[in-house]
Amino acid sequence: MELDTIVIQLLTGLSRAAILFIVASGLSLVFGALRVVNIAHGSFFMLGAFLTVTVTSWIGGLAGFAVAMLAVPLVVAAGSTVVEFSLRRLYGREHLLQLLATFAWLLVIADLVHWLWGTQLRFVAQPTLIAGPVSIMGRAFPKYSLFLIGVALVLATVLFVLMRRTGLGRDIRAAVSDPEMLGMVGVNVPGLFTRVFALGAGLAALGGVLAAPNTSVGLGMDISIIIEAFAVVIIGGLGSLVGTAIGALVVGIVFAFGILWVPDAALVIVFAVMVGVLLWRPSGLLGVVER
Amino acid sequence: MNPRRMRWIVGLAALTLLLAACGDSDDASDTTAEDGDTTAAPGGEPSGDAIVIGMATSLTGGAALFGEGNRDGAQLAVDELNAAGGVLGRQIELIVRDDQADPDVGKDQARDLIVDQGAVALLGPVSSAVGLAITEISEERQIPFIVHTSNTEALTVEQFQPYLFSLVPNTGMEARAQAFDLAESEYTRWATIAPNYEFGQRQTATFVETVTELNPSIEIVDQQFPALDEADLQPFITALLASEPDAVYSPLFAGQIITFTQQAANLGFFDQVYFTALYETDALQALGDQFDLSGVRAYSRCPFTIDTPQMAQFVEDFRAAYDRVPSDWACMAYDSVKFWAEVVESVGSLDSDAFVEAAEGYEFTTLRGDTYIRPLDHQAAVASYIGILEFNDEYGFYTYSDIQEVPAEEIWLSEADVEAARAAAG
Amino acid sequence: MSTYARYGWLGVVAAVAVVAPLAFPERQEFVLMQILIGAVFATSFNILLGYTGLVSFAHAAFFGIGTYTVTLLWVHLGWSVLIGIVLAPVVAGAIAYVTGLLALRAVRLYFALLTLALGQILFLVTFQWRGFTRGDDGIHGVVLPGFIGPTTNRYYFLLGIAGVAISAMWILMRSPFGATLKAIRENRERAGFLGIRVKRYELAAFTLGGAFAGVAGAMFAIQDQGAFPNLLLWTKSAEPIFITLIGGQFVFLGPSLGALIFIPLEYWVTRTFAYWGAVLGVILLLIILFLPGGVGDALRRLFNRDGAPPEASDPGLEDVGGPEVTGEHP
Repeated sequence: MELDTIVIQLLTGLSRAAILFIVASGLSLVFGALRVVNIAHGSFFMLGAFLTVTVTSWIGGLAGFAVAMLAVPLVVAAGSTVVEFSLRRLYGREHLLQLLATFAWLLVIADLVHWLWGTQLRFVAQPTLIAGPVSIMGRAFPKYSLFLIGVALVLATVLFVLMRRTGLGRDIRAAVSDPEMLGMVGVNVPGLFTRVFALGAGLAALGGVLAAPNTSVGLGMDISIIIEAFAVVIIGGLGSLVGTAIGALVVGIVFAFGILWVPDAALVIVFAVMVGVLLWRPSGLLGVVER
Repeated sequence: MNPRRMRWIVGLAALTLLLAACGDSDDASDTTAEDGDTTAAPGGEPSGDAIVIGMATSLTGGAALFGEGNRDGAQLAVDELNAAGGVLGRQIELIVRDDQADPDVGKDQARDLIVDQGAVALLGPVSSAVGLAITEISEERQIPFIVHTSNTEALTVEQFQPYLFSLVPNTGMEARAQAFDLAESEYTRWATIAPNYEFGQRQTATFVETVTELNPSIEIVDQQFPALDEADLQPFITALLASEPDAVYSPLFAGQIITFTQQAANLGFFDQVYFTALYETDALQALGDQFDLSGVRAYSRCPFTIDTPQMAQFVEDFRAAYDRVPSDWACMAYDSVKFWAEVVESVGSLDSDAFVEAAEGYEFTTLRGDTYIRPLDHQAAVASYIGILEFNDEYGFYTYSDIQEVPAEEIWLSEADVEAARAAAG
Repeated sequence: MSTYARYGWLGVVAAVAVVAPLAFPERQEFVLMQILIGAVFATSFNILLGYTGLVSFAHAAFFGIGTYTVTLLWVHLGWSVLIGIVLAPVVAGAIAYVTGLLALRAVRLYFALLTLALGQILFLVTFQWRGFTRGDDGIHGVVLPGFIGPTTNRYYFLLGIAGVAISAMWILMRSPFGATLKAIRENRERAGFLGIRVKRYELAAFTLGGAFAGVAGAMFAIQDQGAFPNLLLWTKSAEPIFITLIGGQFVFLGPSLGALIFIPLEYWVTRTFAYWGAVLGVILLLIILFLPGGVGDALRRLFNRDGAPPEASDPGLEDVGGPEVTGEHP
């Protein structure tokens, strides 16, 4: 196996991991702060992708895409407050009910998308600036994939700063390590929950915006991304951003090289890794221990 | 919870049950295919004296465009027949259901169409897996089943049952047409990429088998089978390129061939390998002028640029009715309805067994030209079409130029082979 | 409700179940069969959920394994489906046992996610192993013994199996074993302190639940005369969850009631309206938020209360002792 092949496959795996990280980080944060597993997280991703289709059809080119990147996550984040509101009655109750409530939302949002955008597959053209190939080690490689990796790195930095240097980040870390104390030290708990949930939804939507020009946009995106996102957060551990990054890298790269070396088994391998990690570390590699 | 609220909920539940029970006897809405909407079209009770024919096809999901083509092509045929007085003096009603590309759902819908709606014939789905499920219902209920999109060879060979008819070249025919043509080419390192399900597996297997048999110096260097719903094909493409093929064969279709083209172009794929794939009208329309596909060798089953007077007329009528060009799937669904109507008229009744007997060996004219039904496997002697893509300014997307028609007799399994395969399957 | 009234109700419902096919045309009989299958499937799932407090996304995999056991035995060995029905719970139970061994290494949420992964692996194996399972072609046209060929006979046959399976589960859950499971659900740690080998019971529940899911799967093989890999998808596992939730997880016959509501509703809605998902989602949300004990629980309180103030609505503090049976038989 030649070096250029390995590098290309690695970069491909990284670009896949980039989207996974962006999406899964939202899932992980929401769990860490609210102790809620949001199965409808993939629905926000799908909404982000479809909204991008619409936005870029109104405003073309790079401008349209830039607008989508900024506006769509905000719109979806705002919309997510409806979902969060409906879950408020369930905080502190059995996890199962919260899980199922989010599943119910998944069904509703999926049909909402169906109603608004119909059943056809949609496509978003890549903005010319980041479209087309670039040459790496004599091989062609999509600029857009490099763009994705770049965005993920920037976002990781932003999130790190958010968690370490801001009030919101401090509150989230407090919620992650000791939810009971939160109210007692004067944090506005409901407000925090709403903001974190919105942040999570916005991240998922951002993932959708970025994924749209790279693949096709269709119904069913919600389910396929949530499975992979679960794999990521399980491997990395819920509630830890570093864990999510590790999980995303593992899933993206294992899949990319799985296809290269054992194509028939690639899908199974990802799940097998997931199972393996959980058996070794039942809360994921760096996860929050279930209380 | 207080008692009053509880009683409300109990009342609601009881009402729901009541509605559910009543709902079976008076199905509410009745939207048939005419309004051309893209959501699943539920059916109502058949009206009056009409003859009902049913179709379960994919109206949602990645292949929804194909299903819509099916529906619209068939509906146009029904409208034309009805305008000319119908069949056996009665009007025809087409009821279309969404099978969601799921064999389970497809089977249910097919059974429903027959038992519930009184369909006397079934038209085919998009997915080969669904086709295999429905063919069982067709046999069980003894209702003629005509496939025109799903084309696994299993339908006419191993899983053959007498009520099945195929108006589409099957996976074997298609793959063999490709293999015969390409075996003698300059390319000896081949790779394949196909969707991981019945159709993709089967067609790839036949291609590989035939091409290596014809030219032993051909080597298959890699085979990729992405899941049917896989949206990101990049890792598969880079893996293919890593094995350094000269040429790649691909039965990817619908959304996946579009995504593939986009991602492959960015990986310099088309500069490095010779590529042949199922670029049919829907995909070509979606790709528009975004990528340079001139000279790419494409294959399909019924391109609308075939040069026959009836095709030209059909294209004109279809565009007038639906404001777009007909895809392969619309053309062949149209052909299927017309075929069914002709045979029924010649028989003079709706009896299924009489239909089967009359249909075997039946000669008729399709949009593609004259053909007949081979009695052994009920496969219509339809050709596989190979073309070179050329940008068409009139339509704004690539179409087939230089269409090469590979006749059925050259590519279908010989009768001896069909029988041998059936015997081997037990 | 007095014992007489309770048995009276059961008798009425049993009579309805027996007479039903005569009242409905053939097309509806398939729906009735699906209700029976759904009732067994959901009740088996409730062994995990309502009784032991386990949420599993792998349950559909055991259902599917039951279906495949029956159909593959016929395809590869030519064995009658009657043998298949007997073997299906054995095979499904065995695979459930192994799955449980792995999955129960984690608890609660991670357990649920682990079952998701394991279920997906089982699905992928079924899907990929074309040589053995025929992959996504599925299996079709399984020939049934003559006496269950006709639709109505088939219904009665499945009714019989459903009756046996549900009765078996009833007996199990009524036993000390069932009581122990409820204790575990109520408070896992406390049960452990009381000396209960919690993991063992959970594994037993998981295995038995899986075995009975296999029975439901076998019933499906008979109704459908075939099998498909999609039966093992985690999204199919959601079905018994919904059914149980709607019908009520704290009442033994809750899941059966849920099947009676859910399946005809789905059948009717999908045929008249394109947005079944939204309808289902809204119903679920309403139930989760306002009626977490499901319809079964509501009925139970309606019939059992003698004007006493309502119980606290938090399910954790609900009356978890002894499944007070009410209402409808599947």
